[in-house]
Amino acid sequence: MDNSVTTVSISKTIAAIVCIALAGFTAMSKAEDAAVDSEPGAAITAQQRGLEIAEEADRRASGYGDSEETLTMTLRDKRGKQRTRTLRLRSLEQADDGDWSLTIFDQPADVKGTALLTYSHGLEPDDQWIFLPALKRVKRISSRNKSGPFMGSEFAFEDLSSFELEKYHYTYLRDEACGELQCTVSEWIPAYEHSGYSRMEVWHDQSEYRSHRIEFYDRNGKHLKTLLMDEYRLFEQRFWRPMHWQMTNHKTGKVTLLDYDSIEFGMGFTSRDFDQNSLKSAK
Amino acid sequence: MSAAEKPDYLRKLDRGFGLLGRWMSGHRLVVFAITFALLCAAGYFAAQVRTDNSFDAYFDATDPSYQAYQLYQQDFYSDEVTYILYRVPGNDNGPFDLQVMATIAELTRVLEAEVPFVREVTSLTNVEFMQAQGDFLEITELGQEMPETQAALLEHRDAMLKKPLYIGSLVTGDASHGAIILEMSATSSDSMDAIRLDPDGGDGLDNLYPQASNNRVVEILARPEYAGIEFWWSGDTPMNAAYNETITDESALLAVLSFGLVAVIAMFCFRGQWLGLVGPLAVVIVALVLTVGFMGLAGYKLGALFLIAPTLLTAIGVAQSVHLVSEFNRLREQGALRAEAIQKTLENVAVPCLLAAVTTAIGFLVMAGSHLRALAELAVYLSAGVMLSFVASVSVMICIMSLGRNTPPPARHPAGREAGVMHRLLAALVRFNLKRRYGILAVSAVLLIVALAGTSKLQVSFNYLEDFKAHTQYRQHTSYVQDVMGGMLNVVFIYQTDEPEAIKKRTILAHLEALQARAEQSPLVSKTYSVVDILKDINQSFHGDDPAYHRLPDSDELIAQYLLLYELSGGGELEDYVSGDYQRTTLELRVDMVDSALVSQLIAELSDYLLANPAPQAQVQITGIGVLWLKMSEYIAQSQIQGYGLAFTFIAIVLCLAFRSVKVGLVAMIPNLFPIVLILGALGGLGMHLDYFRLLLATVAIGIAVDDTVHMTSRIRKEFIRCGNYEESIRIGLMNVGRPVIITSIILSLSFLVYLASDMEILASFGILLSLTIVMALLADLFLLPALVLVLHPFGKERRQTLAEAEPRSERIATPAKHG
Repeated sequence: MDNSVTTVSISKTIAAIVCIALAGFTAMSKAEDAAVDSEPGAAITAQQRGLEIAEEADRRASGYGDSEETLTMTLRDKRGKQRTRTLRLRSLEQADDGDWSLTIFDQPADVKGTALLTYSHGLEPDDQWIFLPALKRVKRISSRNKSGPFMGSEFAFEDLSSFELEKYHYTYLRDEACGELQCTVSEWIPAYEHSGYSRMEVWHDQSEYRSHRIEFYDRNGKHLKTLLMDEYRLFEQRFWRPMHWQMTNHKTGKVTLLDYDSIEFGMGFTSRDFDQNSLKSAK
Repeated sequence: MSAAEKPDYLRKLDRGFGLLGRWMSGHRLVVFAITFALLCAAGYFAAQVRTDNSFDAYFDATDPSYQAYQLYQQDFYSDEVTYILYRVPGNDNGPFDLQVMATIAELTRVLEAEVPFVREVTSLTNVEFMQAQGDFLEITELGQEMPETQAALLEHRDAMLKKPLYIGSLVTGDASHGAIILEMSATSSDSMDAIRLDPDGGDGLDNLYPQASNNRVVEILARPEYAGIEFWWSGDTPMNAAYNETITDESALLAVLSFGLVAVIAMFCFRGQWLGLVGPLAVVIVALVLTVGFMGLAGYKLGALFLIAPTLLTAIGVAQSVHLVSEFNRLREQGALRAEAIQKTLENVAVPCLLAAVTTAIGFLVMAGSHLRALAELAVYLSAGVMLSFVASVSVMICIMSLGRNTPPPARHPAGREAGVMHRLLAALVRFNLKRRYGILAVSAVLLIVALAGTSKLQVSFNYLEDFKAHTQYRQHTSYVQDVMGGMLNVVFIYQTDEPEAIKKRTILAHLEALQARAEQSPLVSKTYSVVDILKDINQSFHGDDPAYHRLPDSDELIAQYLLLYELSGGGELEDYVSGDYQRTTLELRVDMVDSALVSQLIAELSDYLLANPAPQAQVQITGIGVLWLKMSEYIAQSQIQGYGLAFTFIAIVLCLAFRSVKVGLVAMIPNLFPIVLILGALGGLGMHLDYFRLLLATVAIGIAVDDTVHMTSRIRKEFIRCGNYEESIRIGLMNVGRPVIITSIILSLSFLVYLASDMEILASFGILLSLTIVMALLADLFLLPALVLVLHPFGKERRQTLAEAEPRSERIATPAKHG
């Protein structure tokens, strides 16, 4: 098995966003009001600043070890009809590559026990295995399509995959108010050539540097989706996590909600909990 | 009491019009000012009329079929596509040549990025391809992982050709042609606001869907980087664009051609007389502006059906004017002063013109009850247009006729009129009619019986491909695509369940699979798509690509887990077939664009199948853009067939009331029904179907044909009231009114031949048939009507039996009896 693996992890994504925010604060403190907008080298300065934020974010996101999350996904169409799915997500942090994750589907009943093991890589295709209880078989699957919908939701795989520094190019854009808080806004441009997006705009508050809003722009530059995150809780006195996510697709009018029922760290997972045999026994 | 003896309110109306004519000629500047003011106001409202050939313009918002389609769109987006077929001449590997595949990958990207209103572009380069290699299930897209060698790409081709999912949609079975499918985000049922490319760019066709999308596709495919690849494009978007562009281009073209033709005919018929040339043209222009102004005021839109309006209103306006000009000329030639001639002209022909306008308007108005909004609107604005033509013809013609001094006309050779071909022709006609009245009736009766037999074979059917002429790009491309890849008409079956997730049940999907298999038995169905295809493909892939497993999975759980796997693998295509809550799913059929009667028959057969085999725990609805087209045609057919009876009845009632005699009214109806039955009988006998334009034939033709009958009957009746002798009244009537009746019929029938210039075959054929009907109506007016009058004596008993007795009291006109 390849050791240079990475993960698909919702929790790490959140952590990354939070850390980027924190790093942004640090970077901004150091840079103070560096002449981002007014001096001749402004564009470069903005990119450097964006990169510094990302590097710091990546550093802060590391070190969570492992986690288990239970969440409910609610898919709502533009007529307001909705359906729910519940799943659990186990993650194991990897030092040199993306994280490993095991997604176990609990609801609806007809997919109960279906499990997906993912070794995530930066710009390379993920390694994935799926266990279908109806066939009692594990199958290795491969797909480069990261822009497709995740479980029929408004989230794409790439929205939920773990944060890796090399996945984007960064540019600091501006500061602006976001509700009662003050936010920084930065632009992320995907480095992955098959990404479904041309760019994203990310809002972080300047007090705790949590991510509050991400706007996704499609390949033609049109505003496609908006992700809002709130109900933040602090875990392990270090990791801020939003307990409620809302992704709105402006093209289809559909909305997907993610509500976290629980997030736990220090579960004691090992690599044996993330191999093909673990798929069959995942409950 | 005979008609002749009754107090005649029409004569009062005649006198009223005469007085109006006298006043108008004395106040021509006031009349001109009022007409000009009306024209300006109409021009203002006309400028607000927009072209809209979308389904929104055709269907009422409460229409059940339209509502079902909109509901379908809410779950499954637009089902409109642009389908691009391509091949690479001279390349043995065809679409699977490495270089070609790279070019198509780039083209796919460019189409997705640059074509407006496109939701998704799918080609061989980005379609998800599921393939098993031992325990490894690979889901690839060629464009993301292009093979490095030609041999590897050909291996991929061979694997792809084993998958029924792609054959007939993205690649032909022999791999000679590839295809690119552009799924659109907009539809023809969207409102204008939703289909503007630039919200502030106005409503020019180039700024609207589908033209904006289609134009960009055509422009992209013509770029030099794609030289060497042959393209054909078809589908809903090019079809709707072709319709809209034809409407816009040809509305103006047909109007200009009609004007030109009218000018030429008028010049010929009135021997270069300026009144005969300028008068009708001015009337037509004023009438058209007033009509489009009315449309603007009423909030109506220009749609495909408007195509017939300019020529129709031109013909009607000219016909009205010709009667006025002819009568005015006749009176002037007899020595009347200008003002007196104007007064007498209105006295003699204004009421028949008004009656003709009312009957024509009724012919159109009966369609106002149509379920189809565009047809109902056409009925109203054409009716208004006909009445406005009458107003325009009276006001404009009086203004023009009153120009010049109120002096006697220049002296003309008294025998000049009589020496003309027309005069000699009419004299011969009179002699023939008086001599052969029973023979005419016998021949007419035989023709009528034969025609009635022919009408029993009539069939209503449409063909949206053959609507266009063979040389048009849309038809050529669509024909080729249909020949190579199959039909372009989309018919959708929606399975609706009562609860979310239910659509994953095997029993429901098995029913869908059976319906799909039943549909595929039809030679009209070239390709079917459903979630069952995807499930079969996954099942086969999960079992080492063993073709034995190309079947529906065995359990509900496995179906659900395959679908989850598909979603987790990208699965973008799933949302085209299954609603987000798994409560609804669709079966899409690609049906050949053949006669709609055949498509309707297919849908009826499948509906019968569903009645005999109801879906378990699901209701099945039929919709889709193809069904909407059929529904639209059905509505036209229904409203026309219902309209026939109504039009005939109302026009007969108007004629009975106008002539204050049921007998006269009914006799006058016979020469109008005769040509229509004859033409419809010929269509039935020749096996030609009634399309949505031909269906308009009867109501349009009777409305127009009745005009000349009204003029003829009025004049014959007038003469009979005066002289009391049928033969004499026929002779004087025909000699007086025969000339304008022949001229108007020539103008009308030639005007409708203008439709031959259209790119739409359906309109050209409508033009020929309408022209023929007008000619038949003329013959009926010239032969059958006099024969009926002579035999049936509809105006009462004769007061004088011989021509000799009546001669001294006949009107002072030149006749062969007097001058021959």
